[in-house]
Amino acid sequence: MPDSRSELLQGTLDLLILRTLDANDAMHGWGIAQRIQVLSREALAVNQGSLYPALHRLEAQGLIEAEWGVSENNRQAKFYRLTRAGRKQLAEETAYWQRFSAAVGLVLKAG
Amino acid sequence: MNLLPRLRKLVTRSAAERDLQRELEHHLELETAAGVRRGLPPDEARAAALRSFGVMAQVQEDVRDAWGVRHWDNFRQDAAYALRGLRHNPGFAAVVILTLALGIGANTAIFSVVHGVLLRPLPYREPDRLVTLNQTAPKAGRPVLGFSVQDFTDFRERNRAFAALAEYHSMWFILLGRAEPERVQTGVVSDNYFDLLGVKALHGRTFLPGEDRPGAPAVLVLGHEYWMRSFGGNPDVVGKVFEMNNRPHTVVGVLPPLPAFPNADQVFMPASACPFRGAPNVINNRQGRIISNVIGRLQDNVPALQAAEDARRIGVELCGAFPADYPVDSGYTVETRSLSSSFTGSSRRPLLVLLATSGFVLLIACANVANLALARLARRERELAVRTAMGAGRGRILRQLLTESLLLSVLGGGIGLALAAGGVQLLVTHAAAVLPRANEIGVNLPVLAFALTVSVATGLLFGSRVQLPAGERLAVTLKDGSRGTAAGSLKLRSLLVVAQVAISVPLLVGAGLSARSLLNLQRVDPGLDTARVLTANISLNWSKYNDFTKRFGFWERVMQESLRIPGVQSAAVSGVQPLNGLVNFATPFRLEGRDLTPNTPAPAATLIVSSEDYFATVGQPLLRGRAFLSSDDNHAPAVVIINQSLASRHWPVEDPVGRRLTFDNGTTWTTIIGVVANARQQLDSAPVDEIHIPLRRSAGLISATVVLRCAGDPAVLTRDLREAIRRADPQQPVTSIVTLRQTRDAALAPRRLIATLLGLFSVLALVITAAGIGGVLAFLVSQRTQEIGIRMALGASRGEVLLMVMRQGLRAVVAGLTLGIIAALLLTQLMASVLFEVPPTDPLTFTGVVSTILLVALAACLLPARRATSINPIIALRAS
Repeated sequence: MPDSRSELLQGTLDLLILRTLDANDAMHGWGIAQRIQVLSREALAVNQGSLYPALHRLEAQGLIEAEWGVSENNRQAKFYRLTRAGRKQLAEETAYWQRFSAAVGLVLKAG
Repeated sequence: MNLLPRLRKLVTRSAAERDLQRELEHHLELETAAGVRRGLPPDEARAAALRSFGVMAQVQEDVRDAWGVRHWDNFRQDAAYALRGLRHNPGFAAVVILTLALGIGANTAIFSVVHGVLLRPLPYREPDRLVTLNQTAPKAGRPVLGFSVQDFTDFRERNRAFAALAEYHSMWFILLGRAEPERVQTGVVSDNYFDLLGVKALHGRTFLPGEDRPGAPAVLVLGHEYWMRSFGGNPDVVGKVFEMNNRPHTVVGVLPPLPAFPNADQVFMPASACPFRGAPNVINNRQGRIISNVIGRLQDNVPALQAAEDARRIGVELCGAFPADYPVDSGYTVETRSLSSSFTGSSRRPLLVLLATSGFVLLIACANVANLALARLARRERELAVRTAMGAGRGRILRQLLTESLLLSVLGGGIGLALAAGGVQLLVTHAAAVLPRANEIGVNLPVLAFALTVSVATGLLFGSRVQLPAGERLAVTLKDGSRGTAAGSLKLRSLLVVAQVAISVPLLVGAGLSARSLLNLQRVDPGLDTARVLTANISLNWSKYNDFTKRFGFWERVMQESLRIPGVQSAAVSGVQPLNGLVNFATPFRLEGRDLTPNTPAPAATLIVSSEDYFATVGQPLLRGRAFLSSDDNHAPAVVIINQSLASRHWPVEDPVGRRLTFDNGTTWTTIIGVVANARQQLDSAPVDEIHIPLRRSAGLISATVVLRCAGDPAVLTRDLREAIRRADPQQPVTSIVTLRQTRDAALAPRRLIATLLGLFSVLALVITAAGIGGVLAFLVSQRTQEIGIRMALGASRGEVLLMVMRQGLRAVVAGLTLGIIAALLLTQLMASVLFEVPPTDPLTFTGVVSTILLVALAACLLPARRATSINPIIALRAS
């Protein structure tokens, strides 16, 4: 990919998916990828190859749940929604991420 | 992670796959539509959408991974693939599975026996704190002296290392009070015997302190097996009174199942109840060593070495206090051994030899399997290279090969376990008489675990010997007609053959040595004519036959009745069972006109009472003088016949006939009237000094062996002999009636068993090794077909090609032989105690083994070498 956009850090994709689903009601995979890209002002690219494994992993972990529905192009699509466990996980991960990025920022400024 | 959704996914596998397909397709459609909106032509937009996924197959794999079903799935796939592969190579699969099954089966069977006999803890309290004591006088030819009552008392009083000492000996007595008089083997023990071992009664109690004191009422404790067999396991037997040795004996308890140690006793009585052990002349005689075993429990915090030192110190003290009873020059000392080692005794060494042997067989089997697997891998090199190039992960391929080898070893292990179960049954039936605790042997859980571990480890061992082509080598391998890396694998495979041969040598040498021992033992001249002799052991009722006249009358009646049996040529009675006698009960005596040399052991010999016709009946030739006559009775002068061994010890030149000796320090004298040839009391021990006493001048034997020489097959007269004994006394219990041949064969049984097993193992090893050698050479030939073709096209003769191939194979064999001989020279030293009249370095055995292996190797090489010579150069060259 000819990209100025950053590759996602390992593990952050899960966090972004949870955050995206927290802000919206049920979404399908393509919608989630689009939303992440838009919200990051095109700065973050979601690798489609890792999106679906991540979604299925989160589903297997019980953090999100899925349901088949009809999408905007009138097709059957699998819609994902955050579960209670997912919401809790998101809160924890967000707090951790903020601490982490603040700490990295401090180091970079001090350097 | 939740198990339920995973399981659901497993079950609804195809539905989930379909859903994933639909989900991804939906994504692609939306992405394509977005591309079109950005102005791309539809097909380009579709292509771009696909590209954004990377490798679609990989994405699907990753998703399945997320389902958590992938490992199971892979395994199923690998197993199915492996099975399919093996079905296409039935020869390979059969050879590998069979090799492993035999190796694992042999190991599991032997390990079952070793576990049952050597490894299982003894059913006593803290068995590792128990030791046995032994007084020994090796230079007087008496490695086991036993203990007199005074010895035992002194050890009890003088020791500082033992919490307690207990005594034991075993005797046959007659138990009255049941429907028939019964002859029972009786353990005679001190009252603390069971407490010391930590054995609690199953019913009732064991012995109480004080019950072994003189005058205490006689009590009995029943052994578990006897109780089950004779009393049907009825606990009401406690409190019943039976008569033994003319006294009432009250049953006070029943023992739990215990190993038959030191002997297979049916009942136990305290020391005071035994008429021999309790007799004053035994108690007061320091050399009346009636106690056969002394068992001690170490004090807490006292190490075994310190206890051994303590026991030796007491020996030194006794030597100083009673020099006449413990002559210094006899090498007298006191030994201690752990109970477990005296328990397994002489069976320990042979069992370990067998275990090592079967372990070697398994090693050879593993080498063979590795060899076959490498060969197969070399043939599959191209296939694997193609799969790598097509994008199969290295890990995935490795896992697949590993699955295949695991599958093989588990199959081999399963069949091996079945073989072992059968083998153990066979071993137990053959070894029951030879091994202690044979009844406790079985294929049990630890053994199963052992078999599985061995089979899985084998699988991993040869499965991991895989080198996958990669990088440049991959390219080379993929090139048409390349020989790839086969050369490297050939070197490894030759090394495996070297190892196989090297391991086979000690195996075959061990088998050869024990076969030679068996042959030697079979050839041993026992000094008796064992053909056509029938024997019966009889123990008389002590209370009924209470004087010489009654006892002698019985034996005379039995001999007379026996002589009436048609086909019986002569009959005799002896106090010692021929070829199964008890050695080491030597009685000291003095020779007329010879003084005792101070500090030298007094002359001593085993006393054997026998009737007039004994020597003629068993075929023991009289060398000098005369045999006993019916006139040699209590009214005639005392006479004895000595054996050759004793004669040459004291009269190397002179004729001993007419000389006199005394057993009571000169009070009475006995004249030697004859010299009889040596006969062995045990087949595998040298003849001992013997003095024979005429039955008519003895105390009349209380237990003896009746010996008949027959005109034909003695076994058919068994019932007639039983009848004859019944006519002599209808109430007399008769134990086993066996032919002398049977006794002789029984003595050979343990060695025969070992020799047979070692022989089986080494044949197995030889076959497997031959398969390995042949396999490597066949592979070599197939790899070098072109080269051989070129050589032949250039004029090499068939003989030259044959020689070239053979040389290649034999080089590994010779290297293996050299290593193997060195290993065998070291290893067979461990077998020395199991061998009989064969040195562990026996040149004949070594030569035989080396030539056998060479011959087998030659044969194994010949087949592939002949195939090499039949290569048609034109076809071979065109094939490239």
